[in-house]
Amino acid sequence: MVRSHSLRAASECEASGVRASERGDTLVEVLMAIVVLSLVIVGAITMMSRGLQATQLAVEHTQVRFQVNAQEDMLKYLRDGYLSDPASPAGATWTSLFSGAPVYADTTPTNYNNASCAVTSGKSGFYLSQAAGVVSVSGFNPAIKPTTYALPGKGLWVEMMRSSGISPAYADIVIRACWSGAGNAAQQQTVTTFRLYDPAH
Amino acid sequence: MAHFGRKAALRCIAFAFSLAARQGNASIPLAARLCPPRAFKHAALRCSLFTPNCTHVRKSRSLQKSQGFTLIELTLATAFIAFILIFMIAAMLQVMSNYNKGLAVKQINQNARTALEEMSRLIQSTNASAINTSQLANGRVCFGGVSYVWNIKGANTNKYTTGAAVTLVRVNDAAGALCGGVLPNVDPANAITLLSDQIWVQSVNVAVSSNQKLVDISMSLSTANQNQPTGTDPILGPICTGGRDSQYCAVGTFSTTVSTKDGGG
Repeated sequence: MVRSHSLRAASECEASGVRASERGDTLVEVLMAIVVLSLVIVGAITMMSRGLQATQLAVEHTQVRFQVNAQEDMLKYLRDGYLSDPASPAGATWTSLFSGAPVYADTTPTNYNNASCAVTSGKSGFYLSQAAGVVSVSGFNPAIKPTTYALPGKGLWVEMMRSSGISPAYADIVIRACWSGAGNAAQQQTVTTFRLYDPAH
Repeated sequence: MAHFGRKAALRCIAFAFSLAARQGNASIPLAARLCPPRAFKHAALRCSLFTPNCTHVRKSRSLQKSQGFTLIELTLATAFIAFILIFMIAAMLQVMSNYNKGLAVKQINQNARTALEEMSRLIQSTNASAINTSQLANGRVCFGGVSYVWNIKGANTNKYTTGAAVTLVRVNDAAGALCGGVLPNVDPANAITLLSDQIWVQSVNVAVSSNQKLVDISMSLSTANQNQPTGTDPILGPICTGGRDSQYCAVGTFSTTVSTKDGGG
């Protein structure tokens, strides 16, 4: 359509004595050029916005990573406390993870739903917090959502799976974090797994 | 004009030529004045009808081309170009703003990771008894052999021996002298700067548990000088408010808990 229009315009110009090199652009050509230019600009802006969003998400991941490291260090602190003195507050807390109510470190594997970012069955999560050197264990409530990035108890929790019939016993620990990223980005998740050998069992 | 047919065009131009010949003047300007541009197009198609004047017709076309644009055409073109330019400039400003914001946020992220991971690792390899936070309010904390010294929001309290202010530095301090009562200046030969030039420390808190085996570290960093955060949120602390230069402003708070080398209940 455009081509035939251009050809007709060109033939008219030639008929009127105007050379092809001297004729201007047709309206359709100009509009097409504007559309292409607009698409390029909109694409560039979108890419830059997504880049900025990714940078902001990187900051949130760093903040969550430090919170995950804190949970990991507190678990090691409890385990080491049990090793040095099972009757110490830390040792007692380590023991209660396995034998308290609820029992967090059971032998049930995690059934994790990536889409809903929640444990669907088989596992109760918990999180640790410390005050004045005393680490306490709290049950995780998936309904409590973080306002920004994930914090312990707000989108960040720990799961423990104890070994069965293996000596030395160990506990496989999974620290999960799930939160809504900055700028309405997709749901952000981090999963950290490590193993602590378990002198209590 | 729309009904100006081919015959009328030819008659018009032929009349103009004959009139000009009677007056002894050049026929082209007269024809251009009398006849509309469309007439010349028709005349060119039937040039053979009055061959003697054909050269004049061709010349008249070049005259038509040199007439230029009308005021309306020029105004419309200028308005269109102005609209395109405004759109493009706004888009470019937005792209540059995003780019600058991204750079600022990236700097905060990198500096916080460097500083906090450095401190965390050091605490994990330090015995609890070696931790000295007595000079925390003066921007100093000592971890047995290594000390950290900083200034809050570009203050000039803690200095190098050269007189320059520190931002956040790690200092080899075997005796822990930097956390003594005198607060000596930092020897640059023993110091490693942990932050970029354009980053300020908004706050640092190192809280040691009562049994000295768990350490909470919290650090807030921001862009510096005229790019520092101008607002304060009751929950988030310092924040970058909107404004002309907010694209250069970024702030972040990072915290973690670390157990000491001899930690464990």
